[in-house]
Amino acid sequence: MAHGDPAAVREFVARVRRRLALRGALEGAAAGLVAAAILGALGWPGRGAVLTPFAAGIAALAAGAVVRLLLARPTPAAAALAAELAAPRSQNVIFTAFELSVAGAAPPRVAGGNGDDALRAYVYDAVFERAAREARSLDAARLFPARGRAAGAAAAACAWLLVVARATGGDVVGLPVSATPVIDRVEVAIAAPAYTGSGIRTVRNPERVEVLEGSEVTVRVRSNADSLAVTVADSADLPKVTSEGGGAFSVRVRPRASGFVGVAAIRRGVSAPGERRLVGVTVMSDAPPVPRIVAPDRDLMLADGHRTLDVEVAATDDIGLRSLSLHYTKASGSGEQYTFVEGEVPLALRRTNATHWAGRARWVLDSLGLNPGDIVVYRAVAADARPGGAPVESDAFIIEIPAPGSVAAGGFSIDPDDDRSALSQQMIVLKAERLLAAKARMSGEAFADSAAALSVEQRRVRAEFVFMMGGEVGEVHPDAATEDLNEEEEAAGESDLLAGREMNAGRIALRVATRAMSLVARELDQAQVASALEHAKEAVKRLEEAFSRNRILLRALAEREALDPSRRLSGSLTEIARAPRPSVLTATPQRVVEIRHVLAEVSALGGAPAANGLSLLAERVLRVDPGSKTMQAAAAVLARAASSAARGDSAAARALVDDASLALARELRAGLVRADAADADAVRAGVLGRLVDMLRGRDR
Amino acid sequence: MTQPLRTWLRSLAVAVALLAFWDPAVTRERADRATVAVTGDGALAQRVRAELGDRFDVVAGNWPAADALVVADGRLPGGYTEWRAPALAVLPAAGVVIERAEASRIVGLDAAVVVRVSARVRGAAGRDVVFTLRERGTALDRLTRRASGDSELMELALAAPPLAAGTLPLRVEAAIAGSGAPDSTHADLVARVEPAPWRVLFHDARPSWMSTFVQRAVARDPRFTVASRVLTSEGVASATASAAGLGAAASRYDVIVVGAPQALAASDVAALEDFARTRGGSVVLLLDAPGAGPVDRLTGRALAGRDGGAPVAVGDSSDVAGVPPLVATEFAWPAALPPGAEAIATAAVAVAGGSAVRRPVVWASPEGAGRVVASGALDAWRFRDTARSRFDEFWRALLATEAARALAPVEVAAEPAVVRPNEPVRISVTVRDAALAAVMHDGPVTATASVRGELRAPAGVALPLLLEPGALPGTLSAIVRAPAHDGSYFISASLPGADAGAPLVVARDAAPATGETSEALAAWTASRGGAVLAERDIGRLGPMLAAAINPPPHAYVAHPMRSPWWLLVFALALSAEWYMRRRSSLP
Repeated sequence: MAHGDPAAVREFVARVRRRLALRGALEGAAAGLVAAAILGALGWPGRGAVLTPFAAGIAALAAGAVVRLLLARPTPAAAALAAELAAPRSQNVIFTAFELSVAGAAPPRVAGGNGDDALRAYVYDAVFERAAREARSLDAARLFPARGRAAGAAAAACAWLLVVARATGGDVVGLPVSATPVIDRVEVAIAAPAYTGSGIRTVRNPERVEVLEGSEVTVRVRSNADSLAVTVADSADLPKVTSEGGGAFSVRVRPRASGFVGVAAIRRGVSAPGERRLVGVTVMSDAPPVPRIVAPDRDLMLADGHRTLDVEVAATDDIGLRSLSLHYTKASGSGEQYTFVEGEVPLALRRTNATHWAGRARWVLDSLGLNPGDIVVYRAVAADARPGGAPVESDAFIIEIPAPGSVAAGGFSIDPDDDRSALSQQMIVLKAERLLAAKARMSGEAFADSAAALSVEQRRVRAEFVFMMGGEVGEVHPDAATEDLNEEEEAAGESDLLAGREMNAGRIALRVATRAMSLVARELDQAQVASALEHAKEAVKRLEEAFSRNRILLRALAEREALDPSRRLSGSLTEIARAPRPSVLTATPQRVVEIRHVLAEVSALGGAPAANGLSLLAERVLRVDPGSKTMQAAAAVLARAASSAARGDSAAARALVDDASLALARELRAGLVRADAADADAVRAGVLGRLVDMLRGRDR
Repeated sequence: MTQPLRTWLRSLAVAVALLAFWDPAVTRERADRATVAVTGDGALAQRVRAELGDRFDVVAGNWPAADALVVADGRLPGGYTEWRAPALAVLPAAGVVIERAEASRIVGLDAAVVVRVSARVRGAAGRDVVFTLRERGTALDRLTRRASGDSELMELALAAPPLAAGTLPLRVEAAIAGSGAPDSTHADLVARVEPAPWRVLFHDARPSWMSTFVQRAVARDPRFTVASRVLTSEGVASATASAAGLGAAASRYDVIVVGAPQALAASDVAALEDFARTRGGSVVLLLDAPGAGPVDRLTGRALAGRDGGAPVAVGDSSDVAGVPPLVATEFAWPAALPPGAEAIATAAVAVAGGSAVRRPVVWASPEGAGRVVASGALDAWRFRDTARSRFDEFWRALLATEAARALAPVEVAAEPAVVRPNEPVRISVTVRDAALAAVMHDGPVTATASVRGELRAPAGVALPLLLEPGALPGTLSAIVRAPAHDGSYFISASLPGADAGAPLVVARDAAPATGETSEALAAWTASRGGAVLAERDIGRLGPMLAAAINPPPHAYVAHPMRSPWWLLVFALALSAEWYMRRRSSLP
């Protein structure tokens, strides 16, 4: 039997010991990571701590492993015992061999020695041989697997990473240590008014946010500061800042107008100014809905009230509609006796989406009981979801059942398909001729409707001429003959006529023309297009007479009002009052003055602008005109310059400041004239003047 | 054997001692290393200095005592007319040289200063050249132009809104975009900003719509201080509080605008003529009806006219929307422009036969030292809508131009107005009345004026300037050294009852645009025995300078025994002699 060699056993025990140490280290590391995760959830390390969260986690891992090994360090004996317990088949031989090797009790091997020594030697060799055989057959990694502990450590690491990432906003490696107060993150949560139905929208580190009027804006700031100073553009009061612990602050504002929210980090005992951030706020108003009548989109004159109209309405809104309806008002009566009946026509609504609605109705006019002379004014009414928002009406259209011999109701509009600015009496003639030509192809009802529409247009033309004359053309019964003048009216205006009857021929011609227009309208109402056409042509002829060059349409001065040239420039001037004329005082627009001041402050920043100064300047720019896109853009550029300056990148900051100043200068220049005149030069001017005098022969 | 040697060594030591005691002086001749001044601060200037440093003593900047001058910034150096020594120039392979940057000397606070720039661009074909206008480091305007050729002259206009009244130092920077060259070139200029620099009197011989609306257009412009006087009736006038009569207008206004000039009396015309001729002001006549009158003396010619018809555009430059400066239907124009007159705006007036002929309907002519501008667009006031004409803009620009031409009683100019410390500055003072009297009259003219000149420092200290009569009558000048410290200074000159001033900006990196072109640089270097080299030929610079400079040798006195090396010789000789004696067992 070979001599027993304890080396194999010792080596095996050492392997086991290392394995046990590994498992202990994994346990300690997992425990350290768990502790770091718990501390991270509680907000340690803070923004100003020496250790970054990542470094703290590594330190906790290492500390945990070391502490665990120190506390339960696997001794060789413990390793041997653990190996026996893990491998029972060795039947204690390994532990025995280990103890023997430690005791160093190798028996003497002397030839011819006594029997006890030989026996001990035999046993010694047998134990070690057996132990070595067992050790070689055992795998320490299998006996003491570390997979579970490694998995546990990995799980702890994941949990720690999650906690740290959540706490640092994704900066797992950790934020740089900063002694000056800095702002790591700005989160803006926008809660739109409840009626919009939209949830809370969160934006991280925005330069500008757009909010609906009435929204509540919560600004959450992550910083190493002790406190925050917050300024709001449209408020002189400082909003309340809530400290949420762990470097988190929040402030709630409800902006009423476009402006900004500026936050500045403050740290006690630090004299250097803290980082500032600027968030521009654009407040948008909830626009009212826009309803309209899609069809029929013009006034109608119907022969009777036994009609059915297909009415189509539509409405749009920027956020959401609440209602869409069709309302009407029926006016019956004449003279000073009118009765009004209000009503609503049921609509079949089609809601394309929250912002686009349409409605249709088949309106049976019989239900209104219309009589000749009645008019119905109808309009679409829409309301949006804004609380307290008043309903908005569309343009109103009229349905008229004309009484015989009546004129159109006031406010009657013409077909929008016509070019109103080009409407003239000549066009009335043209349209009447076309209508006559098309009569054979039209049904009686359609012909009558077209004639009625043309009557409306004639009335419009007539009304414009009457308006041009200042309404002085008296109403003349349409049946009166052209030559029949109201004697009472003539007597009242006799002085006018006697002063220059020929000079007023233009007025007479115009009066005759308007009379003819009335006849045209009357004939068209009765679908007598041919006779209406004759009257229309007569009206054109009279208008041409009225506007010929030698007619004076303006009112001539009566005898008693005429100026006496012989009295001009006479009279005593001693009592005239002399007062200086007011001088025009011009003032530079305030906006121009403010932009100038801002540019001067840019100039004062110097070649290496400080971050704090740039942030303040960005606020200043926004205060000039918060709603201006140019100012907003310039402020955003200055805010980016502040960030660059804070990072120490002066070149980038300077380039951004240049961009901002160029934009502001462009805005300022837009309201100024360009001064590009040559300078005065007395000698040159004198020489030129002398030369010209010589050329003109006026040498003196 | 050693004895002679010892003797020789001893003799040597004694000889050295005796000679040292005697200290003889020796006269010799030699040629010194030449001194070359190199102007410019950029990379090219540094390269030139490095190239010449081995052979010459190189001085950075313009040094009058140098043996030669090398221009490495592409512009003529200050005081170049006085330079007599050889001069060469090295032009960069790629770069921009701003040859000219000009702006009005005096601008209003509510106007944008237009700076006209001419720049020579080399080696930048197909690349962008960026021009930036700055005031005290703040960028106020920027334009980018693409170079089409290898050597191109770019002309452009930049505009800067003044930020405050007072001195406005401006810098035009130019750089080739993406060139990688670290330096950009720049040119400095200065203007004076005043809140409302121009004074205008509106004098209406009778109420006139044309004058009323022109006055309204001008009164809204903060650059003008407007006074008006309307003769509403015989002997009755309605005037603003500050309005003076025509007789007293000379000292109070720069421009007189006359409404209904046909109604002017002969005495009024004479007063206006005197205002223009002797005061150097501008008279603007707003004709609103045809007809002759005493004012024909100022318009210079009998006027033809046209009445009625379709509206016609007046002026030759419509804006991008096609809106002309003025629109009118009734016109008056001179049958022929008087000598020296120029047409400011023309209109295509219909003639018999249906064609149209362009007539000068707004024209200007010199009247003595001043000007008379006449408007024959009789009813242009009817078409003031901004969609139809640029009525307001036209009249504001015209009156601004005329007001800027008006001569002040005394004018001051500094050349250059932006300068480096201690560099020469030429100050010119012009006394208007004396200068005009000398120029506009034959025969001897005696004019006296008491002028006081001062240089005011930012701290409020004022140094008197010694002004000497200039080359022209009525002018005074002085050449001074710019102050040693950076800052904005003010040069003032005052007469009894009048004063004027000009800013002077001193900056270490000032680079005034001399207005000289590259051709001028080539001519100047050639006149000084030099040439202009391209950057790639920089190796020829040294030999050319050496050939051109050739400094003469000069005598100098030397004392050879004062060299400390003689001490070593003395010590070695004595030590060696002593050693040899000791080896020989001698005492």
